Amino acid sequence: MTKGVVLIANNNGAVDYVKQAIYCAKRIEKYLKLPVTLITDSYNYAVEISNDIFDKIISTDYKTSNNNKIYYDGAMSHKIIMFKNHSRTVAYYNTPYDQTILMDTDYLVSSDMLNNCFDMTTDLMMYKDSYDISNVRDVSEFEYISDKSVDFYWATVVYFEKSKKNDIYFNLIDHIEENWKYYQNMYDINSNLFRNDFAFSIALHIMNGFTSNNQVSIQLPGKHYYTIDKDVLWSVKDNNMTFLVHKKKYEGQYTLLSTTGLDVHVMNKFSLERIINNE
Amino acid sequence: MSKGYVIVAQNNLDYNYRIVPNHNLVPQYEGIYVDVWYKEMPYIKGQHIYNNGSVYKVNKTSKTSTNFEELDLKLIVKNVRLIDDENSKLDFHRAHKNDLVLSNNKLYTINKQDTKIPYELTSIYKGIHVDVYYDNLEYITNQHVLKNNIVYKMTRDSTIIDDSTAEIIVTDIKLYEDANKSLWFEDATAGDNVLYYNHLFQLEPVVFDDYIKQACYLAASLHKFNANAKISVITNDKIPEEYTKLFDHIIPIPYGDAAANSIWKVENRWKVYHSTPYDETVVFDTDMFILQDISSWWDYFDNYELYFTTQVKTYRDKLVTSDAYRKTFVANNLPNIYTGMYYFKKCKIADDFFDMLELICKDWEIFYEKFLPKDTPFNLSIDVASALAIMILGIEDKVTNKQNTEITFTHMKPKIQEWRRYHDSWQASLGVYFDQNTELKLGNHRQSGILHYTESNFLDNIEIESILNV
Repeated sequence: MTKGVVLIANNNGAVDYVKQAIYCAKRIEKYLKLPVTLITDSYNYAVEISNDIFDKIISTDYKTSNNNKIYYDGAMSHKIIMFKNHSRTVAYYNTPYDQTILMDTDYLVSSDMLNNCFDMTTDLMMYKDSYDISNVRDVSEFEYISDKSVDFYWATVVYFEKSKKNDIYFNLIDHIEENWKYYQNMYDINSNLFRNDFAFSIALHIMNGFTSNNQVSIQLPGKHYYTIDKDVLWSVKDNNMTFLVHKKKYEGQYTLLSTTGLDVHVMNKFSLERIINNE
Repeated sequence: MSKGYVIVAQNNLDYNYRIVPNHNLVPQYEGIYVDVWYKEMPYIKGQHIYNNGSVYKVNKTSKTSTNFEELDLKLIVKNVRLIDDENSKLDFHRAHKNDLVLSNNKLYTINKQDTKIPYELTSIYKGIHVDVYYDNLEYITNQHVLKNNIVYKMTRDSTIIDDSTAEIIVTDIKLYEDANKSLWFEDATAGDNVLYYNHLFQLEPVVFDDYIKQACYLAASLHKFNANAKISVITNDKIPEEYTKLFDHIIPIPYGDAAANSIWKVENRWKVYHSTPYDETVVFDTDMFILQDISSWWDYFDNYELYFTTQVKTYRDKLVTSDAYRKTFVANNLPNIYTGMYYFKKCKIADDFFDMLELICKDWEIFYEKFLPKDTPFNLSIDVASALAIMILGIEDKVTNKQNTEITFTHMKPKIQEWRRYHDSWQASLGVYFDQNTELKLGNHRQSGILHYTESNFLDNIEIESILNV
């Protein structure tokens, strides 16, 4: 059984996801010792700058998106940028591996925890529970996809194997994305923004017979830590990361916090890019 | 050993409730605010007052307790019917199209009349035709006549009706409707006796909480998923004939009805132990709906003599963690039990529990004062009373299992659903989707197990015929 990680990088003119993917791949190689395949709509650029870090680079069609999102860079600065998060299921259809970890490029691996996936006997894993590294903020927005609706699951890291069940699951995600307006209404989602987390969550809910009793996937090993984009990634040294964590009631003020050996989902793309550029 | 389910059901009736008509009204005399006259009130010059079918303007300021005849008034308009007021205890009129009416201190004419009778009419004095009294008409022997809210039977032919010409048949009869629309009709409240097109009727009490209906739906849903379930209902109310087959026993409430005048109808709950026809009993609140086969739960109950769940769930199948409705429990360290569904078998521990519950139900104010000094409830609650009985007897460990999260029910009170925003009614926040296969979705979530729906109009979503399976 072949094992590997698939990253998707679709540049939007403001955030260089290919660079992020290269940085992410280096950390995967270091801590997980797994081959990494990149799926990108910037194939030539990726080939040019990746320095053979990737096992494979797969080209996809370039698409624009009407999905615009506010990207914060710390608490005091933000931009509205095209959010090109469509067609995440392409990883399922194109993965060269039997056992695949699909990962966001802003997920900074600092441990070998995810290697435990390959010893599990299930063919689909993703995180439901998550932990804000500040440990003091309201995390209820990540409990359910909307106030009255279904459980929130993170599409940030997903382990899958090819199977009949997963064929149905990823097909269903495609269907939800194609009919997003309908599902947005049906699942009481206020924002027009399409989010893979929502689509993956809704598909899981449907696959579970419209219940929260999840028989389709289990949680990935370890814990899903994240920092929001109002926090700032300040430095990275090996498996040690330092963050400025936004104080909710004190606009523009931060608390210094560091992690060691934790895999962290870093939502502030700009601060991540600064770290990458300074390497 | 016989096993069965028991429901205690008593309808919540109001014998003195007036349903205000919903006429389409056109404003008249705009800008004039008309107060209903009370002798106890002073009135000032220029004020408009209503009394005895007319509206007047006060010419001279008067003191309190002035008789109406002594007021200095100018008649503004006659033939005004009072149809609504903040004081619901006033005597109101029934009005018809084009009548001039006083409604909540303003004058209107009725543009479109609300013609429906909002109460069930039950015939009384069947077969008797009662004429309305008119001056100077002659009435003949044995004729029935309504005069001044009294129905007389003529004992001889006469134009006069009094003790010498007629006998009183029944008093307190309101003239409610007649072919002659020029008459003045009195509006009535539930429970009143009325003359309606020359026949006597009682207006049936308004059923606010139809617990019998809820019990029937519960029984039907139990049968749907639990073949051969034995179900009994304890009630003094009438079960509709077509649904009596749902129950093995319809048992009258024993030892008198202690809940006749209460809203929540819980005062008789302790009697279930003495009334159940079964050796082992699961007791349900009426506002429960069954969505799966729960017959295997009897095996679990076999481990207990008395069992209450302490863990209920949200519609999203999450354990309820909020104490929004459990302030008394938390403040007074009561065991967190729920009585929406519980089990007992005839035994010593259940004997003791129901004896204690009886004492608490009968003198709940004293028990609450002594044992529940913090966040003391204002009413008898069967959850609180049962928890208190368990605490006093020291049997919590014997009658609960906090680890068991399967023998439970879904509790639909809105504040415990992990919502950031909610309404008073959970149905204002969630769609209810019920299909012909007795599958129920609330919002995005398919339901299973037992639903404690808590809101009686939830049943409007369900056709009982679709779940009848007996």
